[in-house]
Amino acid sequence: MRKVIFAINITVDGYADHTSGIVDDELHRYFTRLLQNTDIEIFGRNTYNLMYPYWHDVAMNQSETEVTNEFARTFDSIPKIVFSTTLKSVEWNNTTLLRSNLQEEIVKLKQQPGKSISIGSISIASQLTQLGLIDEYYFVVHPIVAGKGRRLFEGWEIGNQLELMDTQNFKSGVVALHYKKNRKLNVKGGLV
Amino acid sequence: MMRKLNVFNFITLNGYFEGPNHDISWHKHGGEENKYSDDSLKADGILLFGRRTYEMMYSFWPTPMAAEMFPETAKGMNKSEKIVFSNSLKKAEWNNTKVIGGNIVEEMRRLKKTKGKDMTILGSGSIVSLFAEAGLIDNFEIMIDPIAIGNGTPIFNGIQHKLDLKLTDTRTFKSGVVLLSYKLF
Repeated sequence: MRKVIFAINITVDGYADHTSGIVDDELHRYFTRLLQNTDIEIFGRNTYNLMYPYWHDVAMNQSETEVTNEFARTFDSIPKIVFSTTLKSVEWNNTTLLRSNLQEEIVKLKQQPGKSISIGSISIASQLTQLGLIDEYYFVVHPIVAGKGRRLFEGWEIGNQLELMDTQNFKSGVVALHYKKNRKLNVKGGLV
Repeated sequence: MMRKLNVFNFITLNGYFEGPNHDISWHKHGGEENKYSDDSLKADGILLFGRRTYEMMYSFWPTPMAAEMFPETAKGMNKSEKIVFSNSLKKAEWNNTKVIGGNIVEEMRRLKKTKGKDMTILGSGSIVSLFAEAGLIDNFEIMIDPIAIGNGTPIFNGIQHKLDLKLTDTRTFKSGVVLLSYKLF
């Protein structure tokens, strides 16, 4: 069975704001390695619009550092699914647009053989967490107090079910915390 | 060498230090975490609180229940020199506790310039934000519990400026709690 993973950059005060992190080669290398073990990336509309065309262009033009270019190539080549009711179409290569049935799709994909399924959007990760469908979390904590932004899992909970697998310190002071879900969620109506 | 102002707090993965109605029941107080608190108390610094955290602590640590449940910690908490920052509180009943009111940022600036023990703020969200904003906090010890809660009060709530920190240490506990230590960059 495939694993579903969610990796996200956050600040010490729990914001998941893509504008306030420390982006360097070590961070890109870390995410490249995660992507190399992934063969489906799941987005919502917002994340799709943040990622495309930016990363596709970097992958095509190889316009950044070697490490960033490698990240872009890896990211660009992975098949992607975008869940959105408002997007008319998607332009990115290897990308499928779906309108609904997030839960059924993920359950179906999990049962197929393959590498990990990576969730690239906070709102989708929140819904899947509630459904007990995320197997591993990578919270990449930046040494920053942001004071504002979008809070990780605002209005959503992860109960007492995460087991710390390992931590990794970067030179920049970023610390990556890797957790595995070790107990079934007990959410009313949720799929466990 | 100026005396240091430190912060110790435990938070959820999504940055809350307390849930609705000041709920902190989600925090893991395992043996390892308690030993860490006891060792920190042995450093014999001054403990600082805002009024609400002070009242919560005072309602627990001097009681026979605390002495039974956490003997070492209770002894340390009761014995330590303590300061509570409050304009409404006139006098603190807890052993070895002083009240400071007025412009507490200026009071802290002044206090840091005097000779004496290092100081550690426990809990006390609003004074942490106030002192952090003023750039007065030297070291941040943040314990992250492996959970997320839907809402509550975020640590550093209301801070207007981004703070850049420098990671000085990390430590993991068997419970899955991670302690991240930083100093101001």
